[in-house]
Amino acid sequence: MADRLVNLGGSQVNISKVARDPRGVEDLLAEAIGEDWQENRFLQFDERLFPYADALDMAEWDGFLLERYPPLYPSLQRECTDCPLGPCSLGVGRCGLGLDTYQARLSLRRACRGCVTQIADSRELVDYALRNFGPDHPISMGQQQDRSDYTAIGVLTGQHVSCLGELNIALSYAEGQMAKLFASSYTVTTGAAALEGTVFHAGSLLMLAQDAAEFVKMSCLGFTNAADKNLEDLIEYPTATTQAGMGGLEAGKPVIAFVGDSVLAAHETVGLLLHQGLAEKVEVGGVGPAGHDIIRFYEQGRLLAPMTQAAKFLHTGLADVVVASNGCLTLDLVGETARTGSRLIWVSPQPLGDLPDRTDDPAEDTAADLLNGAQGAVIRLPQKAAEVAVKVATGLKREGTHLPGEAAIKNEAGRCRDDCDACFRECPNSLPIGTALRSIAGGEPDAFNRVEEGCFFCHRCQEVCPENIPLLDIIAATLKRRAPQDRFIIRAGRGPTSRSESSSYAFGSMWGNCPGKAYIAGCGDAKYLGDLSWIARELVSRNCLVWVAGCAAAEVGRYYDSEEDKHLYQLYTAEAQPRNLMNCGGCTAHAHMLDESQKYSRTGSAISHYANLSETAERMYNLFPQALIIWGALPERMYTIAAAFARVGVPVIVGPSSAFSWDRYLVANKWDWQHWFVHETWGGRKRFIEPTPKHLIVPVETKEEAVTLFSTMTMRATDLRDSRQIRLETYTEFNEKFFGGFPDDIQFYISSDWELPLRYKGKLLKYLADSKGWETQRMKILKARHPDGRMLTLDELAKDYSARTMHVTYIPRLISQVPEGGEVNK
Amino acid sequence: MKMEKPRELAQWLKEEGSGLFMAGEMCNEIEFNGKSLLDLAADIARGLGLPVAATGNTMRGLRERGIERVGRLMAAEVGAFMRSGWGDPITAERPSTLLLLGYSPGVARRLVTAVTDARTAVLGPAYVEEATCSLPDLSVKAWGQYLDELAQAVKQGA
Ligand code: SF4
Ligand code: SF4
Repeated sequence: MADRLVNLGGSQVNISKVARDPRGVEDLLAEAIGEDWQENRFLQFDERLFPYADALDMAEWDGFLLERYPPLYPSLQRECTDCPLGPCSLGVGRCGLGLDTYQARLSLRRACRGCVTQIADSRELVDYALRNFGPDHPISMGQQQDRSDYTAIGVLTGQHVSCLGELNIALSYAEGQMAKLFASSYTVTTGAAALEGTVFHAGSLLMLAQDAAEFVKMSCLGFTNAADKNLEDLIEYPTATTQAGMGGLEAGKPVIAFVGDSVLAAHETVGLLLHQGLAEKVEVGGVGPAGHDIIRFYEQGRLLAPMTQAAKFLHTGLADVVVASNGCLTLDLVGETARTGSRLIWVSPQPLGDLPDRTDDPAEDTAADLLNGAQGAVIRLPQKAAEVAVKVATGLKREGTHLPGEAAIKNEAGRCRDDCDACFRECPNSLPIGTALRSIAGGEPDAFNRVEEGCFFCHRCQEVCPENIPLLDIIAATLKRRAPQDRFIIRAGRGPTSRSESSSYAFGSMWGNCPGKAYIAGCGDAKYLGDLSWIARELVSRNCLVWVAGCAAAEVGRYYDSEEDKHLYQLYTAEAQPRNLMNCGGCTAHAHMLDESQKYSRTGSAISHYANLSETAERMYNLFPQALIIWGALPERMYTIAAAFARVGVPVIVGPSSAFSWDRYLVANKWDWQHWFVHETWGGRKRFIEPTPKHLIVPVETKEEAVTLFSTMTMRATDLRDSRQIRLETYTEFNEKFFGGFPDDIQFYISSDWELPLRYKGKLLKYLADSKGWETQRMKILKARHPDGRMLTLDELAKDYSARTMHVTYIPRLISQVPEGGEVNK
Repeated sequence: MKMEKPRELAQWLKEEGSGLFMAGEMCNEIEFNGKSLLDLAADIARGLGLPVAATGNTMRGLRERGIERVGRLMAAEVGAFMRSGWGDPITAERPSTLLLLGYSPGVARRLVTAVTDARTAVLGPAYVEEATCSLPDLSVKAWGQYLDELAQAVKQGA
């Protein structure tokens, strides 16, 4: 293979020395080096490129993370049936498979399931766009982005995508990678940690697929895109005027509800309604991702419910027509619509129950059959599905309800046994179902409200009830009664963030005025309605920049300030600055949060992002004060999203109690101080540091634990003094407020008295002296205790146990190669 | 091992070596005729003389109930600390037994299977077969009575 040299300032880069096998992608790499590399970095470090990366290409970085945060597996499943040699009870299987590796296989399968549904959705969108617009159709993340702006696509493949044809190639790469990962989840026999690296990879691929979907949505379907706007227009973009919740539905109007990922049928339906002048006569809403997508292109669209409430919503029968596709969560669509009489149109390319495939039939015929009582149809063409949905919605007459009324509920409740509570034991949210039923029987008709609000309709309670009480009907009837009051105002999703907006945040947040960036995601409240909006409010009101996406993005809007007569989105503006609340959009918009965050590695440290995930991620982990809170996670997709964020150094807090069923936590021991160290970039000296971030993916039980943990998860070993001060202040405040005392590990995070938050300074000094044995005098620290027990002056401590404001690394090849006082030899 | 009788369980607990009592958020959510699950958690931990790991939001309530050897942990941290030499100042030694109260059965099962080299007792209302010992399946009322009797028994030295 002939060497290909690329000029970089006064140097020349030999492509085959910086990429393992550049055949076929030489032009791509030459472009990345020529346009995005910095000569200085090339000369100082062992810079590499990993175009169209395999999971193992990231092992240098993934390996570090998994050594620092080794997977902890609850092992409920101990018998492997993966191959014909089995079943094997683990221990060790006949193929050599160990229990931990088996748990890692299960973890990978879960991540693959989470990723593959997104890839399938993105494939639908890309194919639709290719058919309708052709491969040369230009795509963009916004006019205010330039080609050096990050997307997961660039980071993983090295490809800057500018048209649909290139997007198609990038998505094909993800599809190929997914096949390899899925195979690994059945074949790898040893090395749990290495296999967890592939879980991370599934996360990165998910981000790529979400980017692909967002490209199509914004470049072909007219979705909102903040990066098309000027900075000064963003503060209220889009305006906070969107109705969310079931209460927004206008009584008497037919309702078409879209459920699942694919937004194409919704897009066609809205176009048709507008074209036929029917927009005022039909309510168009969406559940979960579909709802978030609809409100990004249709102002009158309704966001009806998050995915945690999807099954319950369907069970109410509030929708006349349900148009559904594959999505993040499997729902009993056929069973639910059969029960309620809603008509079902399934638009995905897979069969669904016994529904006939009417894709090739005339729309009039299919609509007529549905109006005459047929339950539903498969219609794989979005345009035809839209035609049928509109005809059926405008012609259907539905009367009555299958749900029990108050008297019937009281009757059923009377059968509940005082000596049972099987439902309570089975409920993943430990909802007091039996107790509430018995209260209804005792004359308190509202006693079930709390159960309904916390229920995500998993069916388990009904399945175990020995009296066959129709608990699901009772829950849905309770929801239907609440529905008219379920209304609040949100801001629709905005799409991506431009470089200038990110840069203005970087500048505006480094003066000790912002505890960090909080990403909030999740499938909706899962135990207490209002948890998500509480979390968002606690953080934004303490000057965090709060980003939301997915189903959580609507749920945070529930908070209502009665004095101001405003909901949360109306109380806070929406630009990338501290104390702002930004809704990126639906499920695919999670990628915008990560894309934005990744920009800083390049802006701040000149790290090229093309085909360069390890360096990008390391810089994010090292420097950027951010964490993701996932609340109310149900489907596998959230598992994979968590992996994507964790891989690039964004720690993830997941709750509430159902989060424990993720069955793999990436947690470390903060008390094992020798576990926590870095290497100086110049010279490579090992330095011990405080344990931060404490964990990489960790479940918590309560929202109070979540925000308190967030305030330490944003600390970085290299923090500036003022930034550390506000993080310590938030950490101390939350601890005092929710747990009644100072944190027992705060001594780790203090390296000078200048970092002590002013309002707690006196009390903290006393606490350090009394509880931790530090020597203090008036408002000063004289000596601090090193975790090995020695008492050190702060200068000594800074040398021995700190990396504040230093340039450090975790990747050996990023220790500078320049010999002290020597010449660069490249 | 299924412990049908509170006295049997009290005896078993008394015989265990160094233990750690874990009190989860459900302790703040359940009431039995005027007595909260947190009251019972405090009574049992006190009766056994065990340090308490307060997970969820139970820290303040446990302090208010006079528990002095209490520290705040996150439930999943216990597994992480146990596998790497412990270190939490709540108790100097790595605990050899964990007692769990205030977790849903699903969470309790996960917590006990995530720890190795330790015995576990789950005091929730559902039988957890993965634990070294567990209460049987109980209604809420019977669970309250069981825990009340357990608290009495450990106070009296089983
Ligand atoms: S359906 Fe709802 S109430 Fe019943 S077990 Fe599931 S979450 Fe609990
Ligand atoms: S399982 Fe059925 S009978 Fe038993 S407490 Fe629950 S609702 Fe009542």
